[in-house]
Amino acid sequence: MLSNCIRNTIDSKRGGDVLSALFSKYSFYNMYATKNLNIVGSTTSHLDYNTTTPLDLANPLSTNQPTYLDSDSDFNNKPSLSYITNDYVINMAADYRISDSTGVIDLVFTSGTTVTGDFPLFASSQSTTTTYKLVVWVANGKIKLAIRIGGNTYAIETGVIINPLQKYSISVQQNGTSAKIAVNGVFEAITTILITAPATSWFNTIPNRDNLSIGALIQSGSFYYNGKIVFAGVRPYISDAKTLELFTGF
Amino acid sequence: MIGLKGIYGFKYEDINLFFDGNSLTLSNQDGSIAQYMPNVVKQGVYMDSISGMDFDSIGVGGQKIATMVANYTANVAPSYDGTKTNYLIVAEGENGFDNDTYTGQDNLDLMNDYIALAKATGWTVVTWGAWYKRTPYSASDNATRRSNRKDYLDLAAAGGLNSDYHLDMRTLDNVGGVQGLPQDATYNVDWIHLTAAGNDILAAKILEKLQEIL
Repeated sequence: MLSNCIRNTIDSKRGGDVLSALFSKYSFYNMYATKNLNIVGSTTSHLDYNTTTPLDLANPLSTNQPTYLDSDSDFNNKPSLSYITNDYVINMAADYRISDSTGVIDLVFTSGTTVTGDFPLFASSQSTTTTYKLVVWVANGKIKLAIRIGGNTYAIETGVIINPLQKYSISVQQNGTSAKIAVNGVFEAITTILITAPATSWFNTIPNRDNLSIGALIQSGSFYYNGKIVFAGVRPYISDAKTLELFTGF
Repeated sequence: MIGLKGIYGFKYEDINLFFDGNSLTLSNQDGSIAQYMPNVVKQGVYMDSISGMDFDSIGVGGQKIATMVANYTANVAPSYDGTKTNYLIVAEGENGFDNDTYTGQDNLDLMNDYIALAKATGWTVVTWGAWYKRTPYSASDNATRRSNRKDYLDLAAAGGLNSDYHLDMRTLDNVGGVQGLPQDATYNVDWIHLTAAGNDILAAKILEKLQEIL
């Protein structure tokens, strides 16, 4: 694992670059990019662009440390983090965004060598059970949103096929009526897998959560990502057009 | 402002750039590399560090638009990639004017035949018309042919082509200008062909349009 002290703690976190501008433009609640890390020995901290009430994420053990690449041609020579085996970063935040009935989760990543299985990109869950969680993952070649509230579940997936070792940008949104998933700037057709919880489910309907993580779903019987994740953020839902605009630019 | 697509390089990987044309596309009259101008455009779009892009250029010296129409199915259509955004940048308004009876409308009609084939395939077509020839003219040139050629450039500039975008290069700094200007060795190899410096100006104009529409 990489040892690299005090990386990017000043220049990128406190502004000036285009990612900081996107953070402000879209009023992100929390935003994480691999340009904005603090790597000290075996601990990688994914610094929040929100410096007012930051929720920094970090690998809990050295064995969970994702691998840092300073210039990754997969991402236009931006830095990247590779998640393999049981790598992830986490903040043990209680009931993350518990007041939000709407919102958008954005992620930029490459898929792993296989997409057969369940590979969580982003999650907020109760770590001791399997019954309270919101998770966005690559699941058997699809992008999937799953929300579980006690014994009830709302789960949807895209029709678009996610291929191995490809780069994707996705936005998962809840507008208060229904959820949508955009892949590379296009809203995809959605299949509802399970709807014993309402289609309006979002963070506000999921109590008892104790973490926010990238690269894993931490629960009783955890799941881990296999691939690279370079961007993750949670922002307010404004409109479908604004959801897509983050990808295309303006 | 650039979005995640541009920041992380999605923008460049899903583009297929293809150039077709004559010696002005080939652009190696001053000893520089073949397809010099298209490669300058390519570097501007792709920044050369981006992998996964598609690019090709098949301009041939002396080629007429009639030949390009005949060769379209064999030489151009196979490079269309349905998984990408495909841009075909094409020009020919020179070599057909090698006799006094070939009119500007004749060239326009053939160009539109070519464009129809390309659009049926799915390409986004960017056409461009060249600049006025400079003195001393070639031995085979005459006032009738220059007039017919001007007619074509005027018809194309007035919206006569069915391409998605058209660029009139007569307005280029140092390359364009009115009829009958003398050659400038900095930019002109002869009456029509350009040096690398001239081709850089041409490439910049095409790149400017692509950056606007990509």
